[in-house]
Amino acid sequence: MTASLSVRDLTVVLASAAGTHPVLDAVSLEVDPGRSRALVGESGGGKTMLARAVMRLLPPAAAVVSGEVRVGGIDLLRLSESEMERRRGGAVGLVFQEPLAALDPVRSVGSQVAEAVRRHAGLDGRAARRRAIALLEETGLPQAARRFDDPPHALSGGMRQRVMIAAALAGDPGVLIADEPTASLDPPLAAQVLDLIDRLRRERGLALLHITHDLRRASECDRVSVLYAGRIVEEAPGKDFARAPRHPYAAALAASAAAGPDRRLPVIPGEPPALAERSAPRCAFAPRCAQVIPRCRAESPGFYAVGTARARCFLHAPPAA
Amino acid sequence: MSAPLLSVEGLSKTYASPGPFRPRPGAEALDGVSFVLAEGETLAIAGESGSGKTTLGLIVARLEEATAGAIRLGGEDWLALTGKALRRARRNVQIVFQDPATSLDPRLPVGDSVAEPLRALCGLSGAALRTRVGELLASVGLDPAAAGRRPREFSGGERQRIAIARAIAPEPRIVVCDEPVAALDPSARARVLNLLLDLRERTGVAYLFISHDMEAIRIVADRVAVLYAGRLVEEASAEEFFSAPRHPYSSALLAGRALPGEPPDPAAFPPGCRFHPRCPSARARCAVEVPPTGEESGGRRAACFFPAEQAEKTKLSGADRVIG
Repeated sequence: MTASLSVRDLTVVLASAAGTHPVLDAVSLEVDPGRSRALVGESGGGKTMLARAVMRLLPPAAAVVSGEVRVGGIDLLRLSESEMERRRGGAVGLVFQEPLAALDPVRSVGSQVAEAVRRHAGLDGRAARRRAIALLEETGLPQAARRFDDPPHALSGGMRQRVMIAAALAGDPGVLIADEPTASLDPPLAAQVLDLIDRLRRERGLALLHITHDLRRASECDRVSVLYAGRIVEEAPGKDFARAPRHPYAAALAASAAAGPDRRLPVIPGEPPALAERSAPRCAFAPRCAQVIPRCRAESPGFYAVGTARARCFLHAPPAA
Repeated sequence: MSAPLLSVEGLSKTYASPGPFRPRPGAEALDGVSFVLAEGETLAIAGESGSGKTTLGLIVARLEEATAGAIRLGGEDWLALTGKALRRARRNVQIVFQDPATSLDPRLPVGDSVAEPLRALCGLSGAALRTRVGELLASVGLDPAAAGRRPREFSGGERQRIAIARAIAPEPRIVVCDEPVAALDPSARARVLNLLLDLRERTGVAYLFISHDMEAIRIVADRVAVLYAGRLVEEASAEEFFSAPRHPYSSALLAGRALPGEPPDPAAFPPGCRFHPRCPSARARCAVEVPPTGEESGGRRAACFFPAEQAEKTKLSGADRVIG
């Protein structure tokens, strides 16, 4: 099943001792079938919260306040819990960073994929097993039928990641969210897993949302969204993003990967604002921004077009008439 | 020539105990690994996930026992030390893990976590201890007043810097860094790498820097050793390694290129060169004979019968890119 992912004006709040504050603030993004979008930003910026909101798997302290999450036109946020339970795996598949944490260590990898098949594709017994083996083969697990009864620890990290991808595909979802799928893998294995995800995107026409803090990988996606302190601050085609990140935050993130002559890396001073300070009427990046102007501290910037990108930054505002 | 700070010889490790959280019975993590680390030097250990990198770091830090081989630390038999003598010597070798939660107790104020090795290994107490904890937090770029806060009140990057403060607290001569930046976003990663460089400049500490982040290795390392399937397959100065890797596995690491096939099963490694089933330049000999890691010159060696003469282009992208 192919489907697009469309997140519109999604606002999610988190309750803590310091009060209730938005972790995602009017976030919008789209991914078309067969296309890819990277979601980048610092840890704590809200990337994983967005994935959980789309899956309707928010932690108890978090709640959606407004917005919609449409998959193939259906707003997942309006479904009842039982409808969502039926659709979860069929609408959106999710791949995590650490397969060992997501897989049950004492059950065979095949039975875990078969269980996802039973739950999301309604198959039983031998049919579920056959389907699970076919999925494992599709992800390139060698000797899938023989590996079926192996426990997760008998597999290499790359093989476990393929098992998790197979489970994510069990319900034939239109959308795949990959949340840092390669952070713990060495470069050749990471390339293998990303090649696999990319092949599945093309062959199945998946709408792929790739959450990552690797900007090089991000710029290989069709489009890139940059999240900072719960807001999208830049949206651009991947190719153009690689050449010229437009928001000072995105540019600073890109710069922090390349060492200067003294081997030191440029750092972004300070830390992202605490949840309670995010709603202030200003640019949330202003306190850390090298190009800050007075206006940044007085009002919150909207999106301005710059080249093929859009950036939430007054530096790109058209000159006042 | 004076003795190296650390010399590792023929280190091997086989996991014999089966269990759900252990590799399979008979799994071989390390096979005859040898290298030296000089005072104040940074040696990077690169390699595949599961190639034995972490096991190597744990053994050097005396948190895991070797099956065979020897380690000399400042000329002393490091693996033979036990009891009190080991406890006294532990301050010389400290470790930083990928996940700072491994060394920071979530219930303790971070100042107490930093104070713990100072109290246990250096005998500090009272005002002197508090002063030293404040200095250490300041030296990793944190406010000494933050000593009373719990780990969860800090970001991942700050927690890693606190774990580093704890590791350098007893003024070790070696810090084993096991994937210290793998879990960090780009700006937190930059800060931790800068910090490691600054601390080395200031204290002359040596690092065993275990990582699969080749860019991080390029930034911090003086020399690079590559592990594949438990064996050391290449060693070179960082400059030589990044400009012209000799082993085909090193080339794949640097190019970030997917390899055919699967990483070998640690309970049943292939004969000959363990990389041969996945190697683009393998010939008949590679499946039969184990290529020796003989030294060429200046500490450069590669365990390959047909070492690549050509440097692999490691830049993947055009010159006009800001990223990559």
